[in-house]
Amino acid sequence: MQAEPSMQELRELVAEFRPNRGHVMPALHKVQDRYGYIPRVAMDVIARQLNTTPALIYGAATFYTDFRLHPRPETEISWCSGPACRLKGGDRIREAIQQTLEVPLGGESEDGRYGLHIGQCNGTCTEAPQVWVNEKVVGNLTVSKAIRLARDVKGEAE
Amino acid sequence: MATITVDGKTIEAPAGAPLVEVLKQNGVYISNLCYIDGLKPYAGCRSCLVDVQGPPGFQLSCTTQVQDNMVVTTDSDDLKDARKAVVSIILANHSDRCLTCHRREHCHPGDICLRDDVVTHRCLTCSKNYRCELQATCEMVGMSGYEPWVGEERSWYQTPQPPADRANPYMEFDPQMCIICTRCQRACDEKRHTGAITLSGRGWDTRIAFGSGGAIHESNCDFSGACIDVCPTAALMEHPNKWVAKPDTWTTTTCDSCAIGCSIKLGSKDGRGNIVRPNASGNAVSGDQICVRGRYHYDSLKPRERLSKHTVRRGAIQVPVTTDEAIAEAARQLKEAATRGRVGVLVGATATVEEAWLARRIAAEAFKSAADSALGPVMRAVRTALEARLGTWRISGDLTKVAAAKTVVVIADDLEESHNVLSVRVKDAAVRARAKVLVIGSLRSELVDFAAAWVRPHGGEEGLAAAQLADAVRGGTPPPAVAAAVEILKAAQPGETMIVCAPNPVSPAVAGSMAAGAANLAIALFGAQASDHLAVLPAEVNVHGLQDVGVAIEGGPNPLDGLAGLLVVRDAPTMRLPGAAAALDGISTIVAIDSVASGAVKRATAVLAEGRAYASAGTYTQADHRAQKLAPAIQPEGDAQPLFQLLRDLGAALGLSLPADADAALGEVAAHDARYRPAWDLILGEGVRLDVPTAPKATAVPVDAIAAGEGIRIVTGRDLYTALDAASARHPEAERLHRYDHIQVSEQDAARLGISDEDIIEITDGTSTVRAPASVTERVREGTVFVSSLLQGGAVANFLASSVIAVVRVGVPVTA
Repeated sequence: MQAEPSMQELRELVAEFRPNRGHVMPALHKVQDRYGYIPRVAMDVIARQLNTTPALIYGAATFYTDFRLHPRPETEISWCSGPACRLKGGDRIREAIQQTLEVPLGGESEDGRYGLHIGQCNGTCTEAPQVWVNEKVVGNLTVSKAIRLARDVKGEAE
Repeated sequence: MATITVDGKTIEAPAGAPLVEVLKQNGVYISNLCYIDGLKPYAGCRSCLVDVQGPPGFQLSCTTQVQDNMVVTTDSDDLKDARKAVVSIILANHSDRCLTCHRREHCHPGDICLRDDVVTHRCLTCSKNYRCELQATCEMVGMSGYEPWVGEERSWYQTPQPPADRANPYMEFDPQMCIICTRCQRACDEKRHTGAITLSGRGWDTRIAFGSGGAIHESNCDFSGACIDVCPTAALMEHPNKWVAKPDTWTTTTCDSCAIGCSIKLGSKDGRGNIVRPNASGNAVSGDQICVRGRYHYDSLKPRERLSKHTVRRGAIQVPVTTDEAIAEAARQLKEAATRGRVGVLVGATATVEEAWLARRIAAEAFKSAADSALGPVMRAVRTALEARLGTWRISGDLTKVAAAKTVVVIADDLEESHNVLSVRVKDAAVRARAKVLVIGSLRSELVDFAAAWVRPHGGEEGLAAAQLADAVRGGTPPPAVAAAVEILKAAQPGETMIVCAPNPVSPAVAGSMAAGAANLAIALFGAQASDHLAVLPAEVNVHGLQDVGVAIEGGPNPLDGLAGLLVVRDAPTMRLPGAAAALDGISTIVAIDSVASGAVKRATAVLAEGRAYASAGTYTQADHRAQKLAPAIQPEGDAQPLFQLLRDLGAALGLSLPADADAALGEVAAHDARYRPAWDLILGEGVRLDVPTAPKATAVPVDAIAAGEGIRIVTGRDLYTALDAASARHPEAERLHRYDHIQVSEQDAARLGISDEDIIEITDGTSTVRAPASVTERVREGTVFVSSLLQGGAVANFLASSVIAVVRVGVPVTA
């Protein structure tokens, strides 16, 4: 996990953006790409750079589930919520992972080592039902495969 | 005008008006939970359904505009059912029963609960019970007995809401009560231009959030409370209104916190204030807006912290005495002092015109002296600067013109902080009238975000910068750094331009220079009409009223010099004048009239307890010579008396015959100054501009640079949050958010000196020292520190003894 970035660092990071509503999303993406999440201070810096209010930036950042406001866990399972995955039993996969990891969807472990997050369909529906482990696709899951995957992530021996 | 038919009745209405507004004005009830007059229609709650002949389905009356020949039905059975259905969706996720009970899940409608609440009275525990718009709407659409949970498996909310935000001293946000009508978000955006509120998340999880998602006080919210005024439920409420008491009396009066003098309604219970709301029909400048000071400073000190007993000093202690004894003793002391030498009278600028008139008469008739004020040196510096250029200090610019101006020039320390509601009007101009705003100021104020150009002079050189711009407009070549500003000024048109100047409240040299620069700029742009385009905002509410009755017109650089006795009328010399504490210690007779234990009260030989401005009847004369009335809205504490009464009785004890009440006093003022005749006829809630003609001359006089030594300059000014009376008593909670009990340091200086946020630092000029935590901020320019004029009881005044820009050394104190 990275420490909170400094104001100076953030100002330089978003210096290219201009007061324009169209620059809100690219600025948020750039910050998330760099730090893995959007620190609160970054929303203040983006707001100043785009001559708008932190509230507007926060509203945008919370509207999209892909933007995260807290550091991401070391290992993150993104569960695909797309229709193809769910038709092929994705909800069972989610329940299995939730119960094994003992975290709800959108939650993470107390030590911040692993978490479960909702993902959107990326089009690789031939792999359904699937999850991403730190953005790597793990497809064609069954409930038992999912439990094994979750145990690996959790670090428990079988 | 258009003619429409509503439920068979014919109604005349302006074409294009929102239908819901027309219906309401014609006595037809339509539920409207997200619509509110003054904000753009949002069409979020969907409860204002009506049937308009023509288009299919029901229409929303908030977004429907009146057209000629429109036929509207509001009361068919289908419509009533549709409205009920809409309201039931809102209620499905609104907490409406027994909010504070931990057993609520176990209760059923009709149960008698262990706390003796009948469970069907579900709003019983809510602070907005019987004054809640959602509750009233349920009644009106026929859903008062509606039980949203009957027959459903769930026992509580579908989407649990986060806990209430109670972390700040002023207001409370309880998302459980919120129905996401977004009125607060729109008020913050459209009325205040602050934009501190947003909708976060989406779908069921949508919520109102402040700033970047944290607590309210961590956002850019400035606690004006505009959101509270529009909230239909108990989601946003003031602390005292929510938890302490509901008002039983509402009094229309005038805010005493700055020279805008916003018109307010003060709600009180048993003679103590507990809520303030703006009075939209009073002062035309403030309209429906007030600021954090107006809304919460009625409560700046708890009633028990105000003076409730008159005292007389016996040896080292102050002994409580009756009112008659106190007045007799005060008169005796002052008469005795007058035999020894000069007796001065200092009048604070929150005294009314009538009270100042009595003080002036006491000074002239009993002591043969001129009444002065602790603000006197600053007032005289501004007056001299204006008279030299415009021939008068009464400037004719009308502040109601700011909001519609096309060009606004602001010369101030930080207008947002010193005269907040006028700053909102400048933002109105920028946002609604697309005005070009030019800010001249060393501090990065919130107005800079709205400015087309910002000229950032070094601390104390705002007036010089304005004068240099005036020269550039007249034809000189502007330096490239200010070329954009000069372009704006050259394009400024007469009649649609306002120059707003708020001179510094502490340093006479800086204040005079700011007024001079502003006058020069107005003269360069508009010649003989200069004064019609200029407004000079004094540091306190009734400075112009004081000057009108002759207070603080005459006087030296330090009103405390050479006195044998002193009468202090709700004034705070220790907060305004350098070295005042020592000077007061050298005066053997001090009679102080105040409602708080100010520096003067602590040193007084006799103290008369009074009841602050909200206990007074009288008149204030605001920045643009607008007269506004005060009515007694609160009772003085204990033995304390209204200030007018104390002055009248003291005058009688000194052998003078003074007017019996405020009305009679204003009559004397009107006889002395005919401009006050209309003010005499004013009734409460009205305001009137006194007649101020265009200034008789317009001659630019060069503005000299003020000398400054080597070091870090002190920039000071009025901050938004500190309460004046609490600060004069050096109350630790004078600034309850604890933002301005810090010394603000620029990022560059902080890096150079190794200072971080919250480090205790010290600023010193060798004689005076102030120690406080540091706050590192981009608000302050490199080479300056900002110290609030009210920090530590006005400690900054001690750095401003000479007429140069004060410089200090800044550092981390060396611990012994």
